[in-house]
Parts: sequence; structure tokens; C-alpha cells
Amino acid sequence: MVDVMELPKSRINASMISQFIDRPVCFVGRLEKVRGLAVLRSPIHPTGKMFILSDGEGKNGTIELMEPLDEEISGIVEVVGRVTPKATIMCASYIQFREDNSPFDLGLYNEAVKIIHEFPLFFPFGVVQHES
Amino acid sequence: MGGYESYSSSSYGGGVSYTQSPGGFGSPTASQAEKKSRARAQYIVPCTISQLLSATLVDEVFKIGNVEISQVTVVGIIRQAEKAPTNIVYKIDDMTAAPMDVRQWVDTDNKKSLVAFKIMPLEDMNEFTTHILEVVNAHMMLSKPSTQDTGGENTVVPPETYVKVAGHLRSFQNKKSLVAFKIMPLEDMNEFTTHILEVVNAHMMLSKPSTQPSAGRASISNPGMGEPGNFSGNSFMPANGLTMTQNQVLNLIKACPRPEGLNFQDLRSQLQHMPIASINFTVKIDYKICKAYGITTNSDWIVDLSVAPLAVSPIDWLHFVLGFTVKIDYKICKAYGITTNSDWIVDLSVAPLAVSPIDWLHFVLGYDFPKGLWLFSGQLDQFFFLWKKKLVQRWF
Repeated sequence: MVDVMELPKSRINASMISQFIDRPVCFVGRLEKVRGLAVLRSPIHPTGKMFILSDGEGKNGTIELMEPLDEEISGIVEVVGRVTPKATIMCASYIQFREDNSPFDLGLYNEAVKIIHEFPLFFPFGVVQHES
Repeated sequence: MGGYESYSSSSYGGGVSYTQSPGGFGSPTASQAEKKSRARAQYIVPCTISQLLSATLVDEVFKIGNVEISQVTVVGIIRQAEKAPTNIVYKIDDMTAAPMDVRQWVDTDNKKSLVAFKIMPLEDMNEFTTHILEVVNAHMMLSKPSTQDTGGENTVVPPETYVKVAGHLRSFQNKKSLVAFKIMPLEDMNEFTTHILEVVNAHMMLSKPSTQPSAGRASISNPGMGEPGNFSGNSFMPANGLTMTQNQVLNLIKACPRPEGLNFQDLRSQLQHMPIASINFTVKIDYKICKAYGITTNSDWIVDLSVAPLAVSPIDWLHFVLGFTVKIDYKICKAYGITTNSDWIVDLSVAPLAVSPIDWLHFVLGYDFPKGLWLFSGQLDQFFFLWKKKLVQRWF
């Protein structure tokens, strides 16, 4: 898993997860409580080894961890990891975005992700060796 | 964020008042330096680390594709920070490649000095008054608590912090790094999103031939009739963005009922009034585009110099026809007086035409392939046909 940190990690949203099986990715989403009937369900699985993030389009990505979470996480989380064959993301590392100064606009970030994929020439993932 | 304005991408739009001195690349002679500083990148360009690592160094100028860069900004997360007596070295990760080394020099003694990258006599003394007002304004805004840096220049920014870095790209023994003149933790994570958008926008705009500041560019960006090597303007542009000439060719192709489309000979015979251009260079398809579109190999198309110049901009045609990035080999450019590499970045939303790419290159760029390459051309015809059917196989 360590090698993922040295590789290019494509920024994706939930709709793209299935196209990136087995590839290193970076997923940004909001960890929020999910309403189910009359019960508020935590997006963090009881074992602490899985949580759900919702992206800028409101779609969910499932994040799996090798070790249980050792802290309470909330808000916007950026996960780096590899997509599993089950279309979950096996997390290699994560950070929480600070929102103490201003809220993070997840919708705008989602638009940026779509633009990155629409214009790979201007925002490349991975290094291209050009001959000079 | 007031103090950061000068490092934002709005600078590249033309409002920047300074040019990059050549000093950073290891002191060419003064006259060389002057000549070069004119063509030097005048902008701080927002970039990804993958772009910086892909940059080529040609005649002491870094280029990403055909975008010249020197001062850049990147936004990424600090993975590692190592403090040495005279500098701090960070590893910064923006997800587009392996983390990159970013070095920030630390002031070790109390003697401060300024390394100037531009010294300009004032043309208008009112600029002097303006500077006084700007100093007061800038420092007043920067002193507000929310815009403070996290510490002095000797303070190390901790790992797992998202930062915006402004600095110079350096290459030493083939390893690239960034020398930062500013490292600022992001106060507002929306700046990170903004950087992504700025990178795409900046590189898209700077890649367009007509917006390039460098000297050699103007002569090849204008379509129109002209003598060999001289493309003078054709001002009539029909609504689809193509010139009349281009539209004539397009209409001929569209009108052809055969599934295999038109070959070059057909076109040539139907468009006999058009002078054909000749330029000799190696054309290489960018391998990333190859991968994205299932083309399994780079191809070098080597072309012969026997034909008269075409009345159509090669860039416009390649853009229209081929659907991939084409790069002209730099050495060949020099040999034939083409003053710059050009990456022709093509609009992928235009459907490929029913014409072999090799025929189009021939038609557009204006050259006859040597006999030996017709076999080559045959293979490409096959490739192209397969490509249209989206069954791309290895083609040589």
C-alpha cells in the first residue's frame, strides 16, 4: 500500500470509481450522517474499518481501512488509496480539510474533477517524457 | 489573502509587471540573456507536479508542451519536511505524480539582501506615489490575523498540511525540483479547488498558438493564401470556425459516399487550385493521447520537402482532423527554420474524418512522402480505418 503514495493518484468522484478498479485514486467527499427511517445512521461502520463519503454530486463512495479509525473524523475528508475489485476504495491515507475559515464548496470541487478528466492534456496524471 | 494576489493566476493574463531573469538557469552571457529574456515566460503559471516533471529544458527554457514556464505555483499537501541549517526541504504531493522536492531557503544571518529579477527605471513618477500607497494597503491587509503566515521563515510547515507554493522550477542532474519563494498553508480549502481550475485554464490558454508571446508563432497561426512559408491572413471565417478553404475540403470529404472516404489523390485532383505546402519534419504523436485513444504506439511520420506551401494553417487542420496531440521534433524544426516546437492539441470532440491521417498530414502540412513511406502509409490507412471502428490494434 505504501507505493500508492509515490504514484499518480487520479482525482475521481463516485461515478468514476468503477472505471478505476485497481488504480490509485484520490477521493474527496463529505462524511455525514445518513437518515434511514427514523434512525440516524453513522457513515462510519461499527468496526471503524469502513466509512462512507458523499461526493459533490451526492453520490456515495465506500472507503475501507486496513486498521480501524483511531480518531473521530467528520466533515470533508480526502482519501488516497486504491480501488478494490468491489469498487470500494482501500484507504492508504486520509486528511480532513479544514473548514474553520470557510466552508469547502464540494460542488465546485466536483466540477473541477470533471474538468480534469475532460482536459487531461492540461492537468495530466503521471509524467510524460517528452523528447526535446 | 491580499498578499497572495501577485501569485494568483490572474497574473498570467498580462497584468504581471516583471519578467524572469536568466540568472536562475546558470548565467548565460549578457547578450544572450537579453535576447532570451524577451521571449521568456512572463507569467507565474499554475501547474501540477506532473506538468513540472514533464517539462523539457531547451535552450535554458523550461517548457510544458509549448507553454514556457519559469515561475510556477503548485498546490499540494506536505508529506515530509526536513529542516537543515540553511534551508527546509519539503516533499509536496498534489496527487498527479510522486511527491516533489521543494526547497525553501532560510535566512541564516541578519544581513538581508535582495535578488532582483527586474530593475525598471520609473517612466512615470506617479508610480512612486502609487507604491507608497500600495505598501500601506498591502501591509494593512496582510496584518489582519486571518491572513497571517503560520510563522517566520524559519518555521517548518508541518506534514499533512495543504499549502500553496510559488517558486522556480529547477533541474539538476536530470532531477527536477522547485525552489520556493513562498510557501503558504491554505486558509481556505476552496483555494485548492481554484488551483485545479486555474491550472487547466492557464495551460489551455497558453497553449493556443495565437496567444503565445514568442516570436515565431504569429507566422503559422494565420490561415490563408500566400507564398511558400508565408501565411497571410484570410479574414473570412464562416460560422463553424473554419476558413473557406478548410470548409471546401471538409465539404468534399463529407460528400464522399464511400465508407473508406477520400484519399489524398482524390482530394488533390478536386482541389487543384490549392497550392500545396512543403515542410519537412518528424511528427510524433503524444503517447498519452495514444493511450487514451487506444493507439498502442508513438508514431514518427517523417516527411519530405518537395511541395509548395498550403494555404491552410497546419494547426487548424491537425486540430480538426486528427484528434490527437502532434509534436514536431525540435531538431528538425531548427533545421527548417521553424522557430518552436509546437504541440498541436486537438479537440477530441470532433469526429474523425474518413481520411487517412497520413493523407491529411500530407495535405495539410504540404509534403510528399518519400517512396519508402508509402508502405508506411498503407499501414496507417489500415490503422485509421480500424480506429474509426474503434478496433485499434497494434499497427507497427
